Amino acid sequence: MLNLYNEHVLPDSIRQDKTWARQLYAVSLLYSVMLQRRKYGACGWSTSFDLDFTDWNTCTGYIKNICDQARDSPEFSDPANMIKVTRALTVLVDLFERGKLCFVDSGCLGTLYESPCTNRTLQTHVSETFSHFSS
Amino acid sequence: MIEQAVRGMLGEVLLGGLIGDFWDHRVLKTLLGTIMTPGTLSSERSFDDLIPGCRMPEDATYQNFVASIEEIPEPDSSVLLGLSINAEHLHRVDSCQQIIAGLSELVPNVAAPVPRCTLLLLCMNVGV
Repeated sequence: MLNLYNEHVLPDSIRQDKTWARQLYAVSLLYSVMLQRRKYGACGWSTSFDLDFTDWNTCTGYIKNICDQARDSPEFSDPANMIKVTRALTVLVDLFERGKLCFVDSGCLGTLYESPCTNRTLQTHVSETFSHFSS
Repeated sequence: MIEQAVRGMLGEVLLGGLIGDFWDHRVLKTLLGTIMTPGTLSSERSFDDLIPGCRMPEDATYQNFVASIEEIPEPDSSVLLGLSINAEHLHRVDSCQQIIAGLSELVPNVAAPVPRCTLLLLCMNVGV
């Protein structure tokens, strides 16, 4: 955790946005705990999975975006809107990045699930996003 | 409410998406629920549930954050990671086994042949 702060966190960015600074501290703590638990093998995590600096970077980038948007746009800071927008954006970006989507039959989305993990992620995205928009 | 959105995204997508096991996913959600709460983020509550003595700095400056991290006691202890103390013991035994196995491979002619049960007993003693 100290390495993250010494090597990858700019003091200026913390000075500018206190909300993000607190979120950054929390997510760095979470990332460090997740990383250290891997050292304990099956006691830490039942199954092994890839976790590295890029994941921390992605998380902090996402949090930075959401904090910036909440600060700049009053409508966005409304909780309902914020969750809708972030989920909608993320589902689109995530789906396109994965490149595993294809159109099936009459415009239905079909996915080529390769792992239960991917399956669950996509299902969560879609169900959460569309349930919020339909309500 | 930012915390809620962040918890959802991290738990289900950004970090949760990496984890395939159901029980591991529950652990992640619990960790998120412990670490990323409105209370902990506003320094009203400490992270005592997980790490005793660890608290969000009241004045959010870079120096305070670094000082707060440096105050965390024994960062590698299994208890601080929400694990049992036995996990630490097992980890040490495992490490000892790996070292001794490595030594045997490095110097096969020098190392005396030791029965496996004796080796395991030795590792457990060293691990303790």
